[in-house]
Amino acid sequence: MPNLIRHFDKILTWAAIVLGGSALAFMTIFSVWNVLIMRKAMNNPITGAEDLLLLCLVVIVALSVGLGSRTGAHIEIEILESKMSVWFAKWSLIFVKILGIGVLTIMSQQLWHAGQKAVKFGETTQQLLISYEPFYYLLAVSIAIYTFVLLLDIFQVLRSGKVEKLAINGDVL
Amino acid sequence: MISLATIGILGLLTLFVLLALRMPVALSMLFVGFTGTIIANANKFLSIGMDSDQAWSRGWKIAYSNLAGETFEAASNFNLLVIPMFVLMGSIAGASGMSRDLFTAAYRWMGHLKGGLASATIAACAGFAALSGSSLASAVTMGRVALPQMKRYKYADPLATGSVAAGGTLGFLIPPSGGMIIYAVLTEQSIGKLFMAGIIPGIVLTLLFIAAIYLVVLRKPESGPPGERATSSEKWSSLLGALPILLVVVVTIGGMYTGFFTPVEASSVGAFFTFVVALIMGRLDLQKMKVIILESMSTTATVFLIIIAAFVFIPFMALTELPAQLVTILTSLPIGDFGVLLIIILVYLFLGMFLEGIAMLVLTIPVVIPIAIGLDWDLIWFGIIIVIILEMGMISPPVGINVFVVKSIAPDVPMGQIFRGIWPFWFAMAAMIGLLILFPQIALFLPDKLVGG
Repeated sequence: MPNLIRHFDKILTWAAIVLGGSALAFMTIFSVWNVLIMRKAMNNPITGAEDLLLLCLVVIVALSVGLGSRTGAHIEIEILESKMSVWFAKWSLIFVKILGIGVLTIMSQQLWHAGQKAVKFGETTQQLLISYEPFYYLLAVSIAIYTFVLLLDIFQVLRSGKVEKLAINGDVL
Repeated sequence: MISLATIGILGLLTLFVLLALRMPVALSMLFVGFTGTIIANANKFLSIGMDSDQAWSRGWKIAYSNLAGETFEAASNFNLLVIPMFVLMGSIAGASGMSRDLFTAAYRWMGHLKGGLASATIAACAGFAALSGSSLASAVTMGRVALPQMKRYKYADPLATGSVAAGGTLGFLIPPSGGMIIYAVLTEQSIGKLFMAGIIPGIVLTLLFIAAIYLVVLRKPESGPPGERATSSEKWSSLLGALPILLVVVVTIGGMYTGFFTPVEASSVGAFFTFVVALIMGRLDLQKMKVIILESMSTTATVFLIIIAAFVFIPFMALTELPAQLVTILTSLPIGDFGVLLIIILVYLFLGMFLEGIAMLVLTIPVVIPIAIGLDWDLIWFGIIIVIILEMGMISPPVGINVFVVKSIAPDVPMGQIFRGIWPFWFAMAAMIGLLILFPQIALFLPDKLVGG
């Protein structure tokens, strides 16, 4: 299982670097090009620029939620942890992670379901009329990845009593 | 059948229990928001005489629809494009060592004064805050640069660590501020106006921090001995070193203030120019670029998941009518607007001792904003007050997050000493809130002047 986590971290990290990095670069350069060159200098803004930036944002959010679940980006309040017995700390952590798995599974399933209905309900961007369907799926997969990370967390807690997070500056790079 | 208000109270209690059990804030809000929506809606339908099976089935249906709909709405909110862009800008500034240039410039100009190194730290933090929206990033990057210098000149540990912890909080107030973006989105206020409203309080608070340092060294001169006096040429060359950063700030924030860019455009332009400046200065390599991307993605995840959760949680709170009832109770008390504001501030200060800033912001907004609206307060002005109170929480014991960050950089300084060092700055923030209450124009002058209210 530790090998599985290591491989999983590598995939998440490289997906974030390559796909996330490309999305961030596209968003930055495209937005600057549209604003400074096309709109301000040439008075001819790119049609549908907002649509593309918006979809790019969804991609970044989808990629980041999965990565964030491994880097410990999701804020927890740990003030009472030192007051808990080891047994209580361990099992209460497992309990809340199971609750989390429950709600995230429903969320992922509902996002997928909404994606299936996106075409039927005409959910598209405003100018370029790009369907939201694949982007719903992307978010659904991202939430499913978070669910999987919570499962891995439970495994780690049962095995060693704590969750080892992915360090951004760590060896995986 | 239970009343909607009772469901709201039970929901809040459940939320706090889950938070205490270390469930991530976003997941706790999602769980309570989702289950609460089912129960509250089912109860509502039952109360109008609907069949039990049908009422519960409708409750589930609404909650399902909310969960997917609100998630996609948050993830595809065009205004929120500023988050990854400003986060990217801050990450590039941090990784490329721009904080060091800012500190060097401030140090050369102020370092020879008593307490000058601590004041230089505050000034550099304020400058870095204009590139980064995160108080943690400001405290970490500036702490690594400033603390070794202050140690070298034998600064008292409380003053040295306190100035870094407090200076870092300026990242939350001086635009671009992550806290302000979240506040703006959740309260449907203009991000640009909030950014503008933060600039004068940010400058005044910086000056108050420097005044606090002055008072500390006046009482105990040995706590902040003067450093070496820089020559004139050293001073000007340091300023030249910080010039590219200042240019980025002027282009980005200035462009936004003059209406040349929208906040969304300013965020992209800012990230782009920060990258170009870092590249020209030869401060970026492949490894740093990877860290910048991963940091940006990770911070984006933190903020977005919390916003998504807030989008699910806030409609549940509104459904329970709990905030509305609280407004009625508070406005009927014979304490006036000021009394209500004082209660809100005290509650925030109390919560700030235990909760992280952004978490506290999203958790309290559904309850507090209806009160502010009910009392006809300006939500821009109120937002600035909230942001400063959240800053106070970041350095308040026992869970002042910036204090923990400073502790990680200065592990040899006991926690008690760091907390002792933050009090002058804490009182400076309290004074800032007092000033904002007495003179709301400190916050409202710029937004009113530049975009006509």
